[in-house]
Amino acid sequence: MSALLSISAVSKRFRGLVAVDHVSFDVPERGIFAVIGPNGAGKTTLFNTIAGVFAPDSGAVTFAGTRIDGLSSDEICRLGVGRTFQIVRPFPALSVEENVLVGALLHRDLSAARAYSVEILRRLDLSSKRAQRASSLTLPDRKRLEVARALATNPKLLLLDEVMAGLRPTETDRLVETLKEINRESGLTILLIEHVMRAVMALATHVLVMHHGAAIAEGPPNDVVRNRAVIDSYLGAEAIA
Amino acid sequence: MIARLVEGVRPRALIALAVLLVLFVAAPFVAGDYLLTVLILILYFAFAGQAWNIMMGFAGQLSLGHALYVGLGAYTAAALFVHFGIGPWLGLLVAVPVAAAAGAFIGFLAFRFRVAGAYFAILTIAVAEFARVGFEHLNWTGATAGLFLPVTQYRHNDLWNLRGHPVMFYYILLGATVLAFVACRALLQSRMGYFWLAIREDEEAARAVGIDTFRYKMIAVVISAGMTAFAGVIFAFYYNNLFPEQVFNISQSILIVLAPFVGGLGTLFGPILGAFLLETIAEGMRILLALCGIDLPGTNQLFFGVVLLAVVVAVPEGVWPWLCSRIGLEQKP
Repeated sequence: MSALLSISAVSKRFRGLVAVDHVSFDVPERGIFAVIGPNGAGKTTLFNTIAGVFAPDSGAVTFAGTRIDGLSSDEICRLGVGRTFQIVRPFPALSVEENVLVGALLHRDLSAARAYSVEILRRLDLSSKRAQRASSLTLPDRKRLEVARALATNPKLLLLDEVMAGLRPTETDRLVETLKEINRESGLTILLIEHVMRAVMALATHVLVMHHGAAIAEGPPNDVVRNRAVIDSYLGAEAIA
Repeated sequence: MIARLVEGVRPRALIALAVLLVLFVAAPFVAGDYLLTVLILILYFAFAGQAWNIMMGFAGQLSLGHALYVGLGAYTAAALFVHFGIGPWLGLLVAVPVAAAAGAFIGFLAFRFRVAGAYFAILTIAVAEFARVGFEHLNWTGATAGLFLPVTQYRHNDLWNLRGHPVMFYYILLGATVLAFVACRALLQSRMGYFWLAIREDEEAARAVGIDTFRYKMIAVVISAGMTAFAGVIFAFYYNNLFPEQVFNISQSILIVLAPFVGGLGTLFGPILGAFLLETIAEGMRILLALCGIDLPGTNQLFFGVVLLAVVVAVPEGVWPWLCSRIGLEQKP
């Protein structure tokens, strides 16, 4: 498996604070890669440097063989990187279907995009709510809509920023299943930030742990959760009890 | 083509539209001179409001300086006519690009340097004011003394040079309003239309789904400015005189904003309904005040203020969406 996304020695500072400190890792093609760590560890900042919200101060982000650090977020999306927002950002006055349609239109004409939206909505259990305004959705539905809209852009790599937060365990399991299915069927590579360990353990093939901006452990999920540094800084002793 | 235009429109709505159109076409045959001038104003503001709505209602970019495009359109066509005898339809070929270029200039400045929201609105006011002061010193177009189009008694309507009876202006504006309505509907239902709505709703999220927001905002400004310039050309040839203080005045910009704002931002019928409501109520007020023997300057402005306040409080989404939900029509268009 070759690396679809390659992060090498990426750093990002905000004034004096080093939010991301020389982080390097490779996300293999068709893999599901999770980034975990306590609040303030720099996960979302790392995400934003990949998605083009801002450029890293140093280091390189390479996607499918192309340097993407410094590109704008719309350019990065057009190259094949879809993302969700930790604090969901649907288009509130548009219907659920229109939200997805906007994403689907990126690589399609109107009629093809409509057909594709129907398919995506069905996939994410949003068909029954397609005519509702996005602003009227509950939080779990909005989270699903974020994923649906990002998927509609046909990404090769999907960045998920805490999509499981606020979901009930059954809803989490359902979304995990859906993502696994899509990963299996279409070979979609997924990079997710997640606090819900239930989802991480079920989904991820690879886990990176961040703490104070630095990567402190990396490996298969079952190894990482037994790592002493990870338990001390993030999971707590009871996690393995 | 026609089949595509009416696609998704319910028969009931089509019949209503047809009846409305017939009423407007027939109006000059029954309306007197006074009513005709009111109808012309309604159509003028419906058209200009439709143009403004592309920027604000569709793409979410608040312009409070649309007088700039009215003025540039009006002055360009009028100056070409006065100085070179170039008719308004040919003048339009210059006036529209001039206004569109001004829009592109504002758009480029704002969108390249991330000037957004209230700051963007202030920039649009500033450029319009700059143009006003500039034209006040431009002797070629008469500076503060004004630019006058030659008026003589015409025996027949000269459509080519737009010299003639108000009825001619009425039909031109009616045609323009209908065209603008159809064009806006087509735009709104296009790929670009959806991108505009996404930008209006959440620009960062729009970028995250790959929309080149700079490009689509620029297109919105350029289309809106170009359309507004047409309104300016009609303005010039209808009134036959232009003063910078009048055409480029911020109150012109505000008047253009009012109709779509009252009618319903981002809706296709909002600007038309808003223009109709504002003009009829304003004229009604004028008559009422005259009957009561009250002659206070500024009563109308005061009145617009009250109407705006009422809309913001009672129907913040505008009269048209409110009316739609009342009579059980679908929200769109």
